[in-house]
Formats: sequence, structure tokens, C-alpha cells
Amino acid sequence: MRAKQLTALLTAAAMITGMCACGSSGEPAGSGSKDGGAAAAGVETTESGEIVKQDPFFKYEEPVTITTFFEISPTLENFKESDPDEIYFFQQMKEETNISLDYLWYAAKTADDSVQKKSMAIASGELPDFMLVNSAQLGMLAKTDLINRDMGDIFEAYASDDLIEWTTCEGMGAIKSATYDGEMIAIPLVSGSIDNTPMLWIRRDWMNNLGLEMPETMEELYDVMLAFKNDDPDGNGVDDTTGLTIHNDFLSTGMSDVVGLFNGFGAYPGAWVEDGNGGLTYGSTTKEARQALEYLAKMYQDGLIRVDFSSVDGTAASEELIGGTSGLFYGKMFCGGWPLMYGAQNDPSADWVALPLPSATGEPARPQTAISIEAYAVVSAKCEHPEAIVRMLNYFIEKSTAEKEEYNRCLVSYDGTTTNFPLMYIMLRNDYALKNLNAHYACMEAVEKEDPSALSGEPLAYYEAIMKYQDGDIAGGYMGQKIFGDDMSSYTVIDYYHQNDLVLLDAFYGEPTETMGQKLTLITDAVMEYYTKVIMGTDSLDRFDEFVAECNALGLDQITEEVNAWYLEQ
Amino acid sequence: MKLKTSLSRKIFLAADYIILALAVCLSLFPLIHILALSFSSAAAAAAGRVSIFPVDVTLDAYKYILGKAEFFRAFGISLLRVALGTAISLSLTILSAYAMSQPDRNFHARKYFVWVFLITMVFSGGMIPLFVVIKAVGIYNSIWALVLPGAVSAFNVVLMLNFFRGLPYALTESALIDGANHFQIMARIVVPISKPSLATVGLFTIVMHWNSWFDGMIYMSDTSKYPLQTYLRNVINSVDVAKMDLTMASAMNTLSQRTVTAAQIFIAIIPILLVYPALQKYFITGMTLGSVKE
Repeated sequence: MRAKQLTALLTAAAMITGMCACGSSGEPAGSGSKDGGAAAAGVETTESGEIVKQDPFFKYEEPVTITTFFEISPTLENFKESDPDEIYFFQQMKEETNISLDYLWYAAKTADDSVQKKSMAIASGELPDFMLVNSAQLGMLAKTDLINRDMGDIFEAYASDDLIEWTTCEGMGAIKSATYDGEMIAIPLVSGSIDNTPMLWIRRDWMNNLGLEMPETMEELYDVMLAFKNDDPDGNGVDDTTGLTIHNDFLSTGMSDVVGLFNGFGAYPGAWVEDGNGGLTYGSTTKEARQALEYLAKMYQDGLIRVDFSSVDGTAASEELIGGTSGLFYGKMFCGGWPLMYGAQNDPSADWVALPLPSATGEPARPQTAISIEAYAVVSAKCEHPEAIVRMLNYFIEKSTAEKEEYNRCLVSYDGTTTNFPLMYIMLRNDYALKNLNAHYACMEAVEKEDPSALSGEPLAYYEAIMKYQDGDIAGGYMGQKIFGDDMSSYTVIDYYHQNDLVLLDAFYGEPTETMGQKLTLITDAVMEYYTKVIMGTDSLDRFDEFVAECNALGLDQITEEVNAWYLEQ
Repeated sequence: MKLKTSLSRKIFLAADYIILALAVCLSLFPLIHILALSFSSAAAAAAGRVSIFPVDVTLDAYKYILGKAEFFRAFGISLLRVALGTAISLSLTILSAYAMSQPDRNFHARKYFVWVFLITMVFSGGMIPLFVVIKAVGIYNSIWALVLPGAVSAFNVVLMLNFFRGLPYALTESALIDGANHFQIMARIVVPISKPSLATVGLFTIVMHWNSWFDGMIYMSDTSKYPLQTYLRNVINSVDVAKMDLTMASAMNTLSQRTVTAAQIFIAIIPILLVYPALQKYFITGMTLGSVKE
């Protein structure tokens, strides 16, 4: 019965996905073979076992308190524990739904603090009513009876159409990744994977100084790097520039990584990609990856990469970009804000622009990314009102897409100057995959018509920043212009990826397989070690096959087998 | 008569001093770098232009910290923790060490109790059981969770116990004959002549309490109750590029104040810098005195 319900949900969602122009196709999964499970408490079923849709915007008659946790983002300076309760968003939530939140603990939003506190909660078996976990923690919880396993039914009964569309906009992967043994045990909180695609950032003023053309192939890129290194692009008469900025953890995407460079060769390190024979293969050990490595090793030999890159961390790499000694790096769309905006504060003439990935294959390069699941919302088995979690998500989406007037009422200011939707106060939230791209379109239209009256909320803020930039306040409007503007900004690149359907999603999005959990870190460490050595010239590419064999010996072939077994089931 | 130093001896000494000087530079450099950062302008720091001398000297970072209530609150909690923790640790350590320093003929189960302590040096219950215990006894999210769990360190007990055993037992015996009880002997005779070992154990405890951050993180459910090092740990944590998003990127202005971070680190070092010289003279004696037994 439950399998049937899940199938129904997936089909319903797939229909909505069809309406959403996201590219990837969702197909209903339906192989969970559990039978006879009764519907979740509070979920009505018809005689044939179909779940009756409830009003997604219902209000509890009695006040309901849901316990959870609070993650203090570093953005929230001088945070007080009473702050979240005082914002309009939560006061209105109490008004409209009769739900209020009680925070059992407060943690700083840093890698260890928050993760540790959650792990302690899991380990000691005392979960708050709902909590957000990562996929490893979800896998752990899946084996326990600490969490409510009927979330699929509850989600189906109470989720608003918007919530289903947001969750499934990029296909069924998100829901499937929260499904264990045919049961959806958590609500995946998604964001836009397209926002996480790599692109090439380049100093246009340097290009103009040297009279160069924007690179489209890897060969052209190499010439640009040589010129940036050797031809004094900043014209200060000192040999202080570098070819390409990379940092020591160069396969972790964000800023100054080389994943985009690998993609230019059709290599997808760390991702599972189709091998052309109907199976999946690991992107770090392909022959395309070898070509990319060869390119990088040559770059290092020619002095285009810092000699000591293997001891340069993200912060140090950003210093290079801010300090104006580098004019080229691979990064995500946010780089237009940090670090580049701070570079513009130092030197307003630093005119960074974003380019689609140059390619070595003759075909346009496909930027790699993964389905973007920010977290999984798990609900404690002891929680008496599991549907309240779905209700709050409905409420969140309702408010974050509200009409101008209501939306503006929700806005808060973190630093006293700009106003934002209070995302930093809201733990339970997700994101529409194309939200930022749509904001870019809206901005473009307003810029063209010189009329922002149709804009509200975030797009309006971006529009105002673009106007600031165009009025000469370079540093003040830099972020808006470089990310959302019309002139070779992050989103003109992402728009290009989107229009041409170039984004390549990691094909594996399930629960980490058994061997993966045990051995993948060993393998990624081995990959990083070998790659770093090859780039620095202390290990040879002739040993590449040997390196692949080593990875297999470490468990890669076993993992590949498991991943392919998973892939067959999809 | 003056001893003639051979050439090889001179070379050895020269090499010695050079190596030691390098080691000193190595350990001083990070400290000086942090100090220089804290006095530099934010722009110079973000662009990585500061090494051992401040660039664009300014006191902005320190002025900013003066207005940062969280920092001083965390600082206060750490001071309280050190005071409370050291007092509790020292008294408990003295009590257990004194009892176990008695000769076997007076305290038959002595060996058994020593073993009870020694076992905890090798085996521990682990993090989760400890966490569960702390929650169950009701000290979770209070200062006691930082002070009580590590109050008696077996290592310190053994150190002090050996020191006590090194004292002439005749002192205790004569006091017993004069009619003193054990508590009086401990308080009036043994403790006053054990200053080196008290200073050593005290210093260990102070430094341990001042430096630990992990317990603050897992036992405190309010960030406003974090001790200084836990607070700093969260402030210093370098930017996680992989987790960066638009909101974070736009807020990096306040986050990337490396100068402020540097100033906070520097202020946090000061108390320990002050404690060390005061206790240094006892330190070496305290470590080794108990180690030789007749």
C-alpha cells in the first residue's frame, strides 16, 4: 500500500515537473515492495488506499510548539536569542498557523559546531521535533527508530503545489535520495543546482590592456594565461602577476578550484558520469582527467600556477584575487560578490567578467554539478504533529513568493543597511531552482525598460545595485552588476548553460553505498595526492594507469559496482 | 685557571645557538604576524600584504572589539571557568593524592585505589556516554559541565602523589604523635611544603581550562555561554568556500575582518602569558621532584 502511495506522489510530482522547464526528466520510482503499512497518523486514505489531499494552508485550533535548533550564521552579528521570535515572519506564522518554534540549542553555523551538536543529538537519541541533517547523518538515522518514517504520506497529504514543484523541479532525485526501503523518511530541502555550476572569471581590463580576445578553447586560454603571467597585464612594470589562481583543495568547487578546467576536457572529477555503455564511471580516473592533468602539469612547469599552491588555502587564494595579482580563476556565480567585490574596493578598475567554460573538445564544455540538496528535514518519531513541518514549509514558500507589500513586511536588516528576506533566521527553508536565474531575467527586463516597478524583493535589490554600478558607485554596486547584470555577469553565463542544456548533473544521488561510506575518503585522498604530485611534477603521468589500479585496490571498483547496481534500479 | 675551549666546542656552540635562534623565530613568527595583523588596516589584511610589520597602522580592530559584548562575555566565562575549575581540581587532587600517599600499613586498600585512578588514564567511557551522563545529572548547558567532568585528572593525582611520597614520612609521624589528625596534617604540614607540585598541577589545570574549546561546544546549548576558546574557534574558522552562497558572499564584509580576529586572538593569549612567568620557577622542580624515590 505504501509503495502505491509513494508512486502516486511521484507521479503527481512528475506531472508538475513536466510543467517546470528544468531540463531533467523525472520518472516515477516504484519498486519499494513493502506491503500493508497503515497510513500515517493524521493522514486520511480512501478505501483504495489513496491519500486524501488536505488543505495545505490549515491552521491549528490549539497553539502547537515545535522544538528544533538554531544555527547562528556569522552574518548575524550581535545575535540575541529573542531575535527570531521578534521578526514579522514568525509572528505572522503564529498568527496564520498557530505554530511556534522552541529552540533546544543554538550553534554557530560553522562546520564543526553545528554538525557536532546534531551528531550528539543523534547519538544520545534525543532528537528535537525536527532537525536538518546531511546525507551521512540521514543514512545513520535511517537505521534507527528515532525518526518518523511516514513523511512520504504526510508530505503528500499536506504539501502545497508550490512545495512539490520546488522539491521536484530538477527531477525526482531529491525525493529518491530521501527514500530508504521505499519509504520517504525525510523532506529534502533543495536549492538550485544550476547556481553551483563552475565558470571562468577573467579581468577584462587586463585583456584590453594586452589586446587579447576572450578565450573559448583551452589553447586560447593557455595563451591568455601566458600573457597574464609574462606581459605585465596591470602595467605596473613589476613581474608580480600569476597565470591562474588555484588553491590546495582544488577539486572542491567554489572559488579558485580546477573542476571547471577539467570540465573543459570532458572530465568530471569526483562525479559519477555515464560511461557510454549504460553504466556509471568515476570521473576522477578517466582518460579525459589525464588530459586535464597534463595541461595543469604543463602550466605549473611554465610558472602559470604559484609554486606553493599546495599550501595556499581558500582565504590565501582570495587574497591574490582581491590584491590584484591574478586575473583568472574558475569559480561559482557568488564570486562576483566575494571575493571580487572586495577587490573592487581596493581597486575599482578591476573589471572582472564571467565566461562559459573554455573547451578542448570542440564541443561546448559541460559544467559539472550535483543535485543541490541543502539538507534533509527529519522529524522525530516522538513529534506529535509531523504535519506541522510540512505546514511550515508551505508557509515559507507562501511568504517568500508573496506579493510586494507582504514580502516587504517580512524583510529584515542584518547589518543596518541592506534589507533581506530573513533567511538567516529560518532554519526550515528551501529554494526554487531557477529563482536566481529568474531574478536575472526580471532585472534585465527592468534595466532595458528603465522601469523597476514590476520588481520586488530580491530582484529589486539587485536592480538597485546594478543602477548604482552604472551611476559610478563601482564598489557599492559591484555584486549586483557582476552577478545579475547584463554585461558578462554570472547569470548571463548560467543563462547560456541553461538555454543550451549544458549542465551535467552527478548521476549518483542516492544514499552513500556501503563501501563508499568506508572507503571513498581514502580514494579522494589518494586522488588529491596523485593529482597534486603530478601537477608539481614530482609524480609522472605515465603512472596514471598504475594510479587507477591503486584506486581500484583501495575499493573504487567495489564502489563502482555498487553504484551501478543502484543505477540499474533507477 | 681558565678552561680552554677547543675549536670544535666553539663550532658546536655556534651551531647550537643558531639552531635555537631559528627555533625561537619559528615559534615567535605566528605570534608577531597576528600582532601585526591586528594593528593593520582591514584592506591590507584582506589583500595579504601584512607579514611581520603592520601595514597602514590603525587601532580600528581594537576599537571594534571594545564594543563587542560577546567577546568580553566569553572572556569572563573563561576566567570564571579557570578560577572555579582550578580551585575544584586542586582541592580534589590534593585530597586524593594525600590519601594515596600514605604507606600501605596505614591504608590497606591503597594499591587498589591507585589502580582505580590509573585505569582512567588508559580507558575512557567515550564522548557519547559522557554527554548522556552530563545531560542526565542536569549540568548540561551550565558552567559545571565545563568544570566537573575533568576535575580530577589521574595524571595530576599521580604527579602530586609521588611528590607527597617524596616528603619525609617522619613529618607526618611526629604530627600524629602530637595528636594531629590527617586533615590537619594535610592542611598544615603537607600542603604548605608542596608548593612546587601545587604550582605545577595548578598551571596544568589553568592552561587546560583556558585552552579547551571542544567541551564548550558540545555541552553548551547557548552560544552566549561559550567560553572564550569556543567562541574564538567559531570566529576564526576560515571561510568554507564550498558552503558559500549569495547571502554569505554579500556579508563577507563583516566576516572577513581578519584584523579583528587577530586582535581577539592576541587578547586571548595575554592571561596565559601573564601566568607563566609567575609559576615558572616552581615548574621544573614540580615536574621532577617526585620522580626520584629512595
